[in-house]
Amino acid sequence: MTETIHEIPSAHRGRVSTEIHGPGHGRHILDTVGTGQTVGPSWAAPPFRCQFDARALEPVAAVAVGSHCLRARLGENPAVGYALLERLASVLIGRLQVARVRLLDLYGNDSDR
Amino acid sequence: MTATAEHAGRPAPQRGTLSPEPYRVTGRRIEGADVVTLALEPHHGRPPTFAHGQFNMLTAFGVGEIAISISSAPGAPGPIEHSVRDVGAVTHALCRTPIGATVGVRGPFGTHWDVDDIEEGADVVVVVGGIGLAPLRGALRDLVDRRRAGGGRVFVLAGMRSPDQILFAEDLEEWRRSGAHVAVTVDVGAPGWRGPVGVVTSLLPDTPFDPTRCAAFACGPEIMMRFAARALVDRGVDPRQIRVSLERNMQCGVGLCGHCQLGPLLVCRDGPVVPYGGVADRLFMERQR
Repeated sequence: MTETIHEIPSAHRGRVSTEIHGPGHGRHILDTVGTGQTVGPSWAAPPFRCQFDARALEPVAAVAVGSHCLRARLGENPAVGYALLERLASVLIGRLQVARVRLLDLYGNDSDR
Repeated sequence: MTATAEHAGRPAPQRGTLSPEPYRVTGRRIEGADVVTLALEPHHGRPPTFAHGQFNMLTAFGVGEIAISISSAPGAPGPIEHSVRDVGAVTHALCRTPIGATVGVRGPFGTHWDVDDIEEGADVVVVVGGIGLAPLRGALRDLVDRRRAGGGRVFVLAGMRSPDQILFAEDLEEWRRSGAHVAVTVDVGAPGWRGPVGVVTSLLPDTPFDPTRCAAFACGPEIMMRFAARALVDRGVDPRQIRVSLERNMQCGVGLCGHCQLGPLLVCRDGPVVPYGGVADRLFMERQR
């Protein structure tokens, strides 16, 4: 956690959880991603730093791409860079919307809030 | 189906429409931290017929009355069941009602899940959140039985708060064993939980139903249903094939008092089950109580 990203993992098959560890609380599972989904987007923007842990919850086949190399290539080819970042933006917007909805604690009891 | 009172096949309100009939609590099952299922039998005679998704007005005498969906299957032997979530004074009293005590019942009221109108062999996708599984429990039992008899595939996608608050876990497991595709996701994971964590719509991409030939039912918090219905439409499901269950402040149950008015609908009479396409899609945009 909080290491500079050198590789971008993407789950080709299987489920991966994104987690964070808290002293005295163990690990908190933030969400899970499945087949065909990018595990983390932090490689795309400075400071290029991992913020969370990733854990395979079942046998996982993953693809990892060198992030330094990919960013350099995308910089050399802005059309490809734009297309890829547009797709990544779609993923990020989806995750942001999901995170906002989950903050509502829709299934919680009002008296718990 | 149209969102009017003329829903074909819906049992009309019978005795006990305006004054509560006394029912005895014959069973009481704790489903989760704040959900209790009550099994009820009338003091006299047999309970009235009802359809999947209809509701009764339950009275905790001396406290108040509240609309609760029937969570057992029509025609099933034994008492009728209602799953109650302890969220306020009346539901708190109902949840604490012991076996042998008496509660009041008016109904059944409202529209129903029209499982009989589903095209033969079509897939059925049921998207539920939390206690929203209760009004679909009976329908799912029917659908899973039909699947066993060669009917269309059944997909159950359930969103729950956390692994220790998964409601009707035994039913979910039984439906899975019976051939239904059952997936459960939780909002908050926990150590030991190996299933998905996230919103219920995140289960849709991995659900192999045929969107061109399917019916979908959604029940749960209205925000969840809005996202679920949109995700189903994005997946290619015809909005007219999606049904949702609305919840408003039902009081009279027969469309007289107006407390449950939502746009042109009186939800107690014209709902709770309404089509998404052409009805709920617009109502979900209403900004009101």
